[in-house]
Amino acid sequence: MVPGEDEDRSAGPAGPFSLKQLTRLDEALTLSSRETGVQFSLYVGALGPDPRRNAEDLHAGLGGAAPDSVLVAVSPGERRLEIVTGEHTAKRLPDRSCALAALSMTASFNGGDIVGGVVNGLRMLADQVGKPSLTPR
Amino acid sequence: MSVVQTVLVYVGLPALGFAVIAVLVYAGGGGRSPRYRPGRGWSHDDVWYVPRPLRSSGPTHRALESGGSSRSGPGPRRTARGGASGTW
Repeated sequence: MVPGEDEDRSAGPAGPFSLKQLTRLDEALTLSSRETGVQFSLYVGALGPDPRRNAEDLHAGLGGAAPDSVLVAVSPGERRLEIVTGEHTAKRLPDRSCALAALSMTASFNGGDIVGGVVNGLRMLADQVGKPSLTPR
Repeated sequence: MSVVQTVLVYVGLPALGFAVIAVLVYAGGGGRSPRYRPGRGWSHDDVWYVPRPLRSSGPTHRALESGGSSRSGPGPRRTARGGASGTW
């Protein structure tokens, strides 16, 4: 994430988050990705009539990084959250752990706190994934 | 105390206190940053945040761009193996 982009987004009316919130998101994404070796990415926007399919398409759009990626897709308009794991990350992050993180995140979203829910959810997911050296591929 | 002083103390001071509190409330919580409320619409653009790359070569942006073009293709390769869904 380029810092200049954040300022532009927060200055424009289209940006959903303030600069402070963007900083929290950036820190959570970067720290959890560096701790685990898994690339976490966050999509915030519409997911359409078939949210799961769209989120999986987005995950496929990550290209070569997709097997080592976890996509968290949030659609605040449709009140829908999707967590998608890839080929390698699914082994380190079982569906049950994803469901637990999803439950925690939706509880925060229901209170109107998108950023807080995402930050806590990412922390839960990263804790579950663990360090890259400790878990065998 | 004269009448004027009495009125100032018992009416003026409370009124001043209310005014200060009101100014603090409306100036502080003026809603500069848009707040999400469940059930209302979401009128912002779609955004996708990725972690900062460790090296400055930055392969993530190219990966995302190629992903965008493959999305418009007939059928992107399935990479998803698991995950979870949630609603609120």
